[in-house]
Amino acid sequence: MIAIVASALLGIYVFLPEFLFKKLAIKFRVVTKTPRGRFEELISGASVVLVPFLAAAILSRAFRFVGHWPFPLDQDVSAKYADYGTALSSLVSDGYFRDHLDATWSAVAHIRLHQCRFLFWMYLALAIEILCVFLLTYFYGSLSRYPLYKLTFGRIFLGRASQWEVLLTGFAFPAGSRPQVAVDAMTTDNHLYAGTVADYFLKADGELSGLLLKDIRRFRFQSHEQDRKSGMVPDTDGYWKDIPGANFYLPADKIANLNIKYVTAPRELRQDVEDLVESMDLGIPFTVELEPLPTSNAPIANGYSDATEGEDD
Amino acid sequence: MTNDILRLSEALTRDTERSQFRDTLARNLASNSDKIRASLRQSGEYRISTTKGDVVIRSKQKVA
Repeated sequence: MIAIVASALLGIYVFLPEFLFKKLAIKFRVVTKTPRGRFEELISGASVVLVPFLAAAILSRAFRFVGHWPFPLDQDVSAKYADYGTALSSLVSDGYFRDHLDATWSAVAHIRLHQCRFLFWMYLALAIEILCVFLLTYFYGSLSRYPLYKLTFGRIFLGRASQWEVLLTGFAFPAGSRPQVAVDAMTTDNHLYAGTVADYFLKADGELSGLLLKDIRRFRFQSHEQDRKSGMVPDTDGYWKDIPGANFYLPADKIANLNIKYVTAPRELRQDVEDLVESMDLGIPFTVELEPLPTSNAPIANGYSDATEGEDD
Repeated sequence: MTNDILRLSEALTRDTERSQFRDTLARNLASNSDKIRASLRQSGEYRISTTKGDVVIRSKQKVA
Protein backbone atom coordinates (compact mmCIF):
# COMPACT_ATOMS: atom_id res chain seq x y z
CA MET A 1 0.00 0.00 0.00
CA ILE A 2 2.85 2.35 0.89
CA ALA A 3 4.44 1.64 -2.51
CA ILE A 4 1.23 2.53 -4.34
CA VAL A 5 0.79 5.79 -2.41
CA ALA A 6 4.50 6.70 -2.86
CA SER A 7 4.30 6.01 -6.60
CA ALA A 8 1.15 8.12 -6.93
CA LEU A 9 2.74 11.00 -5.03
CA LEU A 10 5.95 10.75 -7.08
CA GLY A 11 3.92 10.78 -10.29
CA ILE A 12 1.79 13.78 -9.31
CA TYR A 13 4.54 15.83 -7.67
CA VAL A 14 7.59 15.01 -9.80
CA PHE A 15 7.03 13.12 -13.06
CA LEU A 16 3.86 14.83 -14.31
CA PRO A 17 5.17 18.39 -13.72
CA GLU A 18 8.46 17.53 -15.41
CA PHE A 19 6.61 15.90 -18.33
CA LEU A 20 4.35 18.95 -18.74
CA PHE A 21 7.34 21.26 -18.56
CA LYS A 22 9.19 19.38 -21.28
CA LYS A 23 6.09 19.18 -23.48
CA LEU A 24 4.81 22.73 -23.09
CA ALA A 25 7.93 24.86 -22.80
CA ILE A 26 8.50 23.90 -26.44
CA LYS A 27 11.18 26.40 -27.36
CA PHE A 28 13.29 25.39 -24.42
CA ARG A 29 13.01 21.70 -25.27
CA VAL A 30 13.93 22.24 -28.87
CA VAL A 31 17.15 24.04 -28.09
CA THR A 32 18.33 21.53 -25.48
CA LYS A 33 19.04 18.75 -27.93
CA THR A 34 22.54 17.98 -26.74
CA PRO A 35 22.68 15.01 -24.37
CA ARG A 36 23.06 15.66 -20.65
CA GLY A 37 24.86 13.72 -18.01
CA ARG A 38 22.80 11.84 -15.41
CA PHE A 39 23.63 14.38 -12.70
CA GLU A 40 22.67 17.31 -14.94
CA GLU A 41 19.42 15.55 -15.84
CA LEU A 42 18.65 15.05 -12.15
CA ILE A 43 19.41 18.67 -11.27
CA SER A 44 17.41 19.91 -14.23
CA GLY A 45 14.39 17.72 -13.33
CA ALA A 46 14.57 18.71 -9.66
CA SER A 47 14.81 22.41 -10.44
CA VAL A 48 11.80 22.20 -12.78
CA VAL A 49 9.69 20.66 -10.00
CA LEU A 50 11.26 22.44 -7.04
CA VAL A 51 10.40 25.97 -8.15
CA PRO A 52 6.59 25.52 -8.29
CA PHE A 53 6.65 23.23 -5.22
CA LEU A 54 8.49 25.81 -3.09
CA ALA A 55 6.35 28.63 -4.48
CA ALA A 56 3.15 26.80 -3.46
CA ALA A 57 4.58 25.87 -0.05
CA ILE A 58 5.78 29.40 0.78
CA LEU A 59 2.67 31.15 -0.53
CA SER A 60 0.29 28.82 1.32
CA ARG A 61 2.04 29.76 4.56
CA ALA A 62 2.45 33.45 3.77
CA PHE A 63 -1.10 34.11 2.54
CA ARG A 64 -4.19 32.82 4.31
CA PHE A 65 -6.16 32.84 1.06
CA VAL A 66 -3.68 30.54 -0.68
CA GLY A 67 -3.57 28.26 2.38
CA HIS A 68 -7.36 27.90 2.58
CA TRP A 69 -8.71 28.18 -0.97
CA PRO A 70 -9.83 26.25 -3.05
CA PHE A 71 -11.13 23.17 -1.18
CA PRO A 72 -11.56 25.05 2.13
CA LEU A 73 -11.34 23.09 5.38
CA ASP A 74 -11.76 24.68 8.79
CA GLN A 75 -9.01 22.92 10.71
CA ASP A 76 -6.10 24.09 12.87
CA VAL A 77 -2.50 23.08 12.23
CA SER A 78 -2.31 20.51 15.06
CA ALA A 79 -5.43 18.73 13.75
CA LYS A 80 -3.91 18.75 10.29
CA TYR A 81 -0.71 17.09 11.49
CA ALA A 82 -2.79 14.60 13.52
CA ASP A 83 -4.62 13.62 10.32
CA TYR A 84 -1.31 13.01 8.53
CA GLY A 85 -0.12 10.97 11.56
CA THR A 86 -3.26 8.83 11.50
CA ALA A 87 -3.03 8.22 7.74
CA LEU A 88 0.66 7.35 7.93
CA SER A 89 0.14 4.96 10.85
CA SER A 90 -2.63 3.21 8.92
CA LEU A 91 -0.38 2.88 5.90
CA VAL A 92 2.38 1.34 7.99
CA SER A 93 0.23 -0.96 10.13
CA ASP A 94 -2.80 -2.96 9.01
CA GLY A 95 -3.71 -3.49 12.66
CA TYR A 96 -3.83 0.28 13.31
CA PHE A 97 -5.91 0.74 10.17
CA ARG A 98 -8.47 -1.88 11.31
CA ASP A 99 -8.65 -0.42 14.84
CA HIS A 100 -9.03 3.19 13.62
CA LEU A 101 -11.11 2.72 10.50
CA ASP A 102 -13.39 5.76 10.89
CA ALA A 103 -10.58 8.04 12.03
CA THR A 104 -8.42 6.93 9.11
CA TRP A 105 -11.07 7.61 6.44
CA SER A 106 -11.87 10.97 8.01
CA ALA A 107 -8.14 11.85 8.01
CA VAL A 108 -7.82 10.72 4.39
CA ALA A 109 -10.77 12.94 3.36
CA HIS A 110 -9.11 15.94 5.07
CA ILE A 111 -5.71 15.17 3.55
CA ARG A 112 -7.29 14.90 0.11
CA LEU A 113 -8.61 18.46 0.45
CA HIS A 114 -5.22 19.77 1.64
CA GLN A 115 -3.39 18.01 -1.17
CA CYS A 116 -5.83 19.11 -3.87
CA ARG A 117 -5.46 22.72 -2.68
CA PHE A 118 -1.67 22.46 -2.62
CA LEU A 119 -1.59 20.84 -6.06
CA PHE A 120 -3.87 23.55 -7.46
CA TRP A 121 -1.38 26.25 -6.45
CA MET A 122 1.63 24.14 -7.38
CA TYR A 123 0.35 23.48 -10.90
CA LEU A 124 -0.59 27.16 -11.25
CA ALA A 125 3.02 28.03 -10.32
CA LEU A 126 4.18 25.39 -12.80
CA ALA A 127 2.08 26.98 -15.56
CA ILE A 128 3.65 30.36 -14.75
CA GLU A 129 7.09 28.77 -14.77
CA ILE A 130 6.45 27.18 -18.18
CA LEU A 131 5.15 30.48 -19.57
CA CYS A 132 8.19 32.37 -18.23
CA VAL A 133 10.65 29.85 -19.65
CA PHE A 134 8.84 29.83 -22.98
CA LEU A 135 8.88 33.63 -23.23
CA LEU A 136 12.49 33.94 -22.02
CA THR A 137 13.56 31.42 -24.66
CA TYR A 138 11.34 32.77 -27.43
CA PHE A 139 12.67 36.30 -26.96
CA TYR A 140 16.27 35.14 -26.60
CA GLY A 141 17.37 37.23 -29.59
CA SER A 142 16.12 40.44 -27.99
CA LEU A 143 17.00 39.65 -24.37
CA SER A 144 20.48 38.19 -24.85
CA ARG A 145 22.04 41.67 -25.01
CA TYR A 146 21.20 42.28 -21.33
CA PRO A 147 23.98 41.18 -18.93
CA LEU A 148 21.49 40.04 -16.27
CA TYR A 149 19.77 37.73 -18.76
CA LYS A 150 23.11 36.38 -19.97
CA LEU A 151 24.29 35.59 -16.46
CA THR A 152 21.05 34.02 -15.29
CA PHE A 153 18.74 32.42 -17.82
CA GLY A 154 21.21 32.47 -20.68
CA ARG A 155 23.96 30.70 -18.82
CA ILE A 156 21.98 28.40 -16.52
CA PHE A 157 19.13 27.27 -18.79
CA LEU A 158 20.56 27.60 -22.27
CA GLY A 159 24.19 26.81 -21.50
CA ARG A 160 23.88 23.39 -23.10
CA ALA A 161 21.64 24.26 -26.00
CA SER A 162 22.46 22.72 -29.34
CA GLN A 163 24.70 24.90 -31.48
CA TRP A 164 22.72 23.69 -34.51
CA GLU A 165 19.59 25.37 -33.20
CA VAL A 166 21.50 28.63 -33.14
CA LEU A 167 23.19 28.08 -36.49
CA LEU A 168 20.32 26.65 -38.52
CA THR A 169 17.35 28.67 -37.27
CA GLY A 170 16.74 32.34 -36.59
CA PHE A 171 16.90 31.61 -32.85
CA ALA A 172 19.69 34.12 -32.16
CA PHE A 173 17.81 36.97 -33.81
CA PRO A 174 15.00 39.07 -32.31
CA ALA A 175 11.64 37.28 -32.57
CA GLY A 176 10.08 40.02 -34.71
CA SER A 177 12.78 39.98 -37.38
CA ARG A 178 14.04 36.44 -37.67
CA PRO A 179 15.81 35.92 -40.99
CA GLN A 180 15.39 32.98 -43.31
CA VAL A 181 18.34 30.61 -43.07
CA ALA A 182 19.94 29.76 -46.41
CA VAL A 183 22.86 27.41 -46.89
CA ASP A 184 25.38 26.59 -49.58
CA ALA A 185 26.36 22.99 -48.91
CA MET A 186 29.40 21.44 -50.53
CA THR A 187 29.09 17.68 -50.51
CA THR A 188 31.88 15.12 -50.17
CA ASP A 189 31.40 14.23 -53.86
CA ASN A 190 32.02 17.86 -54.86
CA HIS A 191 28.48 18.97 -55.58
CA LEU A 192 27.40 22.38 -54.42
CA TYR A 193 23.79 22.79 -53.34
CA ALA A 194 21.99 25.94 -52.23
CA GLY A 195 18.64 26.14 -50.50
CA THR A 196 16.75 27.35 -47.48
CA VAL A 197 16.73 25.30 -44.28
CA ALA A 198 13.28 23.84 -43.61
CA ASP A 199 14.40 21.60 -40.74
CA TYR A 200 17.41 19.84 -39.33
CA PHE A 201 17.92 16.56 -37.54
CA LEU A 202 20.30 15.51 -34.79
CA LYS A 203 21.82 12.23 -33.73
CA ALA A 204 21.52 10.99 -30.17
CA ASP A 205 24.84 12.62 -29.32
CA GLY A 206 23.56 16.01 -30.48
CA GLU A 207 25.55 16.07 -33.73
CA LEU A 208 23.89 16.91 -37.02
CA SER A 209 22.42 13.95 -38.88
CA GLY A 210 20.86 15.77 -41.83
CA LEU A 211 19.31 18.86 -43.33
CA LEU A 212 15.92 19.27 -44.97
CA LEU A 213 16.20 21.95 -47.63
CA LYS A 214 13.61 23.80 -49.71
CA ASP A 215 14.00 25.88 -52.88
CA ILE A 216 17.01 23.76 -53.68
CA ARG A 217 19.43 24.49 -56.51
CA ARG A 218 22.58 22.73 -57.64
CA PHE A 219 25.62 24.40 -59.11
CA ARG A 220 26.68 23.01 -62.49
CA PHE A 221 30.33 22.90 -61.74
CA GLN A 222 31.40 20.88 -64.80
CA SER A 223 29.65 23.23 -67.21
CA HIS A 224 31.17 26.19 -65.44
CA GLU A 225 34.64 24.66 -65.70
CA GLN A 226 34.15 23.80 -69.39
CA ASP A 227 33.11 27.36 -70.19
CA ARG A 228 35.97 28.76 -68.15
CA LYS A 229 38.50 26.54 -69.93
CA SER A 230 37.10 27.54 -73.31
CA GLY A 231 38.06 31.13 -72.56
CA MET A 232 34.71 32.48 -71.48
CA VAL A 233 34.24 34.57 -68.38
CA PRO A 234 31.25 32.75 -66.90
CA ASP A 235 28.74 34.48 -64.67
CA THR A 236 28.41 32.04 -61.78
CA ASP A 237 24.81 33.05 -61.12
CA GLY A 238 23.84 31.50 -64.42
CA TYR A 239 25.05 28.01 -63.54
CA TRP A 240 22.56 27.25 -60.79
CA LYS A 241 19.95 24.69 -61.68
CA ASP A 242 16.65 24.31 -59.84
CA ILE A 243 16.03 20.82 -58.50
CA PRO A 244 12.37 19.86 -58.81
CA GLY A 245 10.61 18.55 -55.72
CA ALA A 246 9.49 20.24 -52.57
CA ASN A 247 11.89 18.66 -50.10
CA PHE A 248 15.56 17.80 -50.38
CA TYR A 249 17.19 15.81 -47.61
CA LEU A 250 20.94 16.11 -47.33
CA PRO A 251 22.59 13.61 -44.95
CA ALA A 252 25.21 15.21 -42.71
CA ASP A 253 27.85 12.61 -43.57
CA LYS A 254 27.67 13.80 -47.20
CA ILE A 255 28.29 17.43 -46.26
CA ALA A 256 31.90 18.59 -46.58
CA ASN A 257 31.18 22.16 -45.50
CA LEU A 258 28.32 24.59 -45.04
CA ASN A 259 28.10 28.27 -45.79
CA ILE A 260 25.22 29.59 -43.67
CA LYS A 261 23.50 32.84 -44.61
CA TYR A 262 20.78 34.73 -42.75
CA VAL A 263 18.55 36.33 -45.36
CA THR A 264 16.53 39.32 -44.26
CA ALA A 265 12.96 39.67 -45.53
CA PRO A 266 12.58 42.39 -48.22
CA ARG A 267 9.98 44.29 -46.16
CA GLU A 268 12.49 44.65 -43.31
CA LEU A 269 15.20 45.90 -45.68
CA ARG A 270 12.70 48.41 -47.07
CA GLN A 271 11.88 49.51 -43.52
CA ASP A 272 15.61 49.99 -42.81
CA VAL A 273 15.93 52.12 -45.94
CA GLU A 274 12.90 54.23 -45.00
CA ASP A 275 14.21 54.74 -41.44
CA LEU A 276 17.63 55.79 -42.69
CA VAL A 277 16.30 58.23 -45.29
CA GLU A 278 13.80 59.70 -42.81
CA SER A 279 16.61 60.26 -40.29
CA MET A 280 18.36 62.51 -42.87
CA ASP A 281 15.77 65.28 -42.52
CA LEU A 282 15.81 66.15 -46.23
CA GLY A 283 13.26 68.93 -45.83
CA ILE A 284 11.35 67.63 -48.87
CA PRO A 285 8.43 65.20 -48.75
CA PHE A 286 9.56 61.97 -50.37
CA THR A 287 8.82 58.31 -50.96
CA VAL A 288 11.38 55.52 -50.82
CA GLU A 289 11.48 52.28 -52.80
CA LEU A 290 13.87 49.38 -52.79
CA GLU A 291 13.93 47.82 -56.23
CA PRO A 292 15.21 44.29 -55.65
CA LEU A 293 17.92 42.76 -57.76
CA PRO A 294 16.86 40.24 -60.39
CA THR A 295 16.91 36.73 -58.96
CA SER A 296 19.90 34.52 -59.63
CA ASN A 297 17.58 31.87 -61.09
CA ALA A 298 17.80 33.74 -64.35
CA PRO A 299 18.25 31.75 -67.56
CA ILE A 300 21.72 30.47 -68.21
CA ALA A 301 23.99 33.30 -69.27
CA ASN A 302 27.16 33.56 -71.33
CA GLY A 303 26.10 31.34 -74.19
CA TYR A 304 25.37 28.28 -72.11
CA SER A 305 22.34 26.71 -73.75
CA ASP A 306 19.64 24.33 -72.52
CA ALA A 307 20.88 21.71 -75.01
CA THR A 308 23.89 21.00 -72.82
CA GLU A 309 21.97 21.21 -69.56
CA GLY A 310 22.10 17.52 -68.75
CA GLU A 311 25.84 17.21 -68.86
CA ASP A 312 26.58 17.27 -65.17
CA ASP A 313 23.18 16.22 -63.87
CA MET B 1 30.65 18.84 -25.56
CA THR B 2 30.02 22.27 -24.13
CA ASN B 3 28.29 24.83 -26.30
CA ASP B 4 28.29 28.44 -25.41
CA ILE B 5 25.34 29.62 -27.44
CA LEU B 6 25.65 33.09 -25.98
CA ARG B 7 29.02 33.62 -27.64
CA LEU B 8 27.91 31.84 -30.80
CA SER B 9 24.74 33.91 -31.17
CA GLU B 10 26.69 37.10 -30.46
CA ALA B 11 29.11 36.22 -33.24
CA LEU B 12 26.25 35.44 -35.64
CA THR B 13 24.28 38.60 -34.97
CA ARG B 14 27.23 41.01 -34.67
CA ASP B 15 28.03 41.48 -38.34
CA THR B 16 25.11 40.33 -40.44
CA GLU B 17 24.31 40.97 -44.08
CA ARG B 18 21.53 43.27 -42.88
CA SER B 19 23.76 45.33 -40.60
CA GLN B 20 26.39 45.62 -43.34
CA PHE B 21 23.72 46.80 -45.76
CA ARG B 22 22.40 49.32 -43.24
CA ASP B 23 25.87 50.65 -42.37
CA THR B 24 26.92 51.02 -46.01
CA LEU B 25 23.68 52.75 -46.95
CA ALA B 26 23.90 55.07 -43.93
CA ARG B 27 27.44 56.09 -44.93
CA ASN B 28 26.36 56.59 -48.53
CA LEU B 29 23.39 58.73 -47.53
CA ALA B 30 25.44 60.81 -45.10
CA SER B 31 28.20 61.56 -47.60
CA ASN B 32 25.75 62.40 -50.41
CA SER B 33 23.08 64.28 -48.48
CA ASP B 34 23.62 67.57 -50.36
CA LYS B 35 23.64 65.77 -53.69
CA ILE B 36 20.41 63.94 -52.77
CA ARG B 37 18.62 67.18 -51.85
CA ALA B 38 19.76 68.87 -55.06
CA SER B 39 18.78 65.89 -57.17
CA LEU B 40 15.34 65.66 -55.58
CA ARG B 41 14.72 69.35 -56.28
CA GLN B 42 15.96 69.16 -59.87
CA SER B 43 14.88 65.80 -61.21
CA GLY B 44 12.62 64.61 -58.38
CA GLU B 45 14.51 61.36 -57.97
CA TYR B 46 17.74 60.01 -56.54
CA ARG B 47 18.93 56.45 -57.09
CA ILE B 48 21.53 54.53 -55.07
CA SER B 49 22.79 51.11 -56.15
CA THR B 50 23.22 48.66 -53.27
CA THR B 51 23.94 44.97 -52.92
CA LYS B 52 20.21 44.42 -52.34
CA GLY B 53 19.01 46.45 -55.31
CA ASP B 54 18.43 50.08 -56.16
CA VAL B 55 17.20 52.44 -53.46
CA VAL B 56 15.04 55.04 -55.15
CA ILE B 57 14.14 58.23 -53.31
CA ARG B 58 11.40 60.22 -55.05
CA SER B 59 10.24 63.71 -54.21
CA LYS B 60 6.52 64.17 -53.62
CA GLN B 61 6.78 67.81 -54.66
CA LYS B 62 6.46 68.91 -58.25
CA VAL B 63 9.84 69.21 -59.89
CA ALA B 64 10.74 72.77 -60.91
